[in-house]
Amino acid sequence: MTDMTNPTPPEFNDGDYALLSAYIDDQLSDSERQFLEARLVDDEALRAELAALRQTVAWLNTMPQLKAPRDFTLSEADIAHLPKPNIQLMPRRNPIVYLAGAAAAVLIVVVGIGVIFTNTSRNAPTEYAAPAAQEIALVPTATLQQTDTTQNRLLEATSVQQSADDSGVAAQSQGGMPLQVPDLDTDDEEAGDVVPVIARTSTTEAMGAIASEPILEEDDDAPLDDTVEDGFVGTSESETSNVTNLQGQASEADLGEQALPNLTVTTETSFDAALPANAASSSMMVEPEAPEAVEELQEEAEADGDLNLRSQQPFDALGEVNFRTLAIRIVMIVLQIFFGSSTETFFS
Amino acid sequence: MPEQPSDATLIAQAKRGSLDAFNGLVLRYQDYIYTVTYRIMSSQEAANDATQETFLAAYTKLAQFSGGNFKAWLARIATNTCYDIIRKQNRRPADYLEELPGSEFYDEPPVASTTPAPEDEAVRSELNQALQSCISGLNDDQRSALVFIDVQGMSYQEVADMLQASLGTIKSRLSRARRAMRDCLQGFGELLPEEFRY
Repeated sequence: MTDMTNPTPPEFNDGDYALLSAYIDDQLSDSERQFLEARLVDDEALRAELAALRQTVAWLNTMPQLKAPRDFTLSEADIAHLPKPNIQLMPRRNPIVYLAGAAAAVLIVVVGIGVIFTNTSRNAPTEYAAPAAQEIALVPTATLQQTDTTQNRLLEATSVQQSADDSGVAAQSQGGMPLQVPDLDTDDEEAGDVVPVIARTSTTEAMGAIASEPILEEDDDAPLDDTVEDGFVGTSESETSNVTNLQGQASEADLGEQALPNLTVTTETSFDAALPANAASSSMMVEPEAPEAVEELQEEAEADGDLNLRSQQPFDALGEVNFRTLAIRIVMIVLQIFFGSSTETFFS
Repeated sequence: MPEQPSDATLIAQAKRGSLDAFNGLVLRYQDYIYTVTYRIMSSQEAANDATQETFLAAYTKLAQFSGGNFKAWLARIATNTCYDIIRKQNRRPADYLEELPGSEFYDEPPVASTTPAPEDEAVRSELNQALQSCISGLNDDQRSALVFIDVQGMSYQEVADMLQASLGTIKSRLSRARRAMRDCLQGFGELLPEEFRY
């Protein structure tokens, strides 16, 4: 064993050797190094210890790398009882499980997209209808400054036949949400001003009032009775199939100076019309009594780019059906891919 | 001469189950691991056992190797393996006792991988035996710090990371180990060649 005679001079402690050892490897801070070097200048014994430690380290540094006396490679027999080193982050599963998982993921995505777009299309009337209605109100105002335009005739075609005799009721009604139709007096300097739909003026000089869904939104608190009294009779049997029939039987008082063409505008307003538009699913469609004439007018208007009656079509219903159908078809295709034709039978 | 595959390549292949790839790593590091285990164990037989156990443990734990210095990772396994064997040896002190210097069963020291000049070989051998004898007198912590830093040339930080100790702890262990080595070698006195005396 090691002979530990002739031990280290007692004047040096562990701290001194720590400094010397770190000094050899250049591990001291600047202040520590300066402190030690100052001591080394004055202390010969300390310099001797430093030299001895340096010699020891130098000898240790020269100890050779040994050669392994034999080959330590592993044989199959050596590792037979050992677990394999390969990494499997996930245990292997039946491929059907993976396919089912993939199908489920696709299903969730598709249904999610369908739900998102369906909700978007349901909310669309709030966004689209007001501008559309505003378009009705605005375009005629602007175009009426021109003489004898298609827009004038279209405006007339969209006048409401009211069952109530009082033409002013529609304009003043709160439940009926009358659409402010601009003054057709082209001589009036203000006639060309934009008259926003939402600026529901109480003038009874309005040429007519159109009951439409967007305007219903303007007064959510309107009592149902008011709606009926205003002549917007809920005639629909189903809330989801509300149809507005615009019958060209508007009262003379509503027509003002110009007689409206005898177009039919039928209004079917759900009793939910008194509810907020988002809650009520009522919608408006234009069904002219003379479809050919209206279509002709429509085409003319669209050609002019000023009025698009199609914008009044039920966006919600259109979008909802399309996206739902799309989503269902995609789901069926995906399921058929993974589960075969039995899926179609199941759905049918 | 074909380029040798990198450690990372061999490790990846070994993780996929290639025993040949793992044995490529064994061949690359077996001298290093044997040297480390011999410096710590001071016994060829114990170093043999420790080296074999090290590579078996490395094969088993290869999935846990997440990259970095594979050599240091192996050295850490070797160190732990040595201490495990030493603990067992302490319970059964006769296991490797016959190989200690001075014993009638003492073998010649292992062959160096690089052979020195013949005239220097004898002189160096005496010094190396003295150094190895002094190393074996250190406690486990001091021995591992000294072997990896002063013999194997690893940095303080590498050893601190490998042994999972603080840098200050490693410095302290090394300082004490060097002091003990200096005292030990001084004790050999005239047994060492004149050029290796203090």
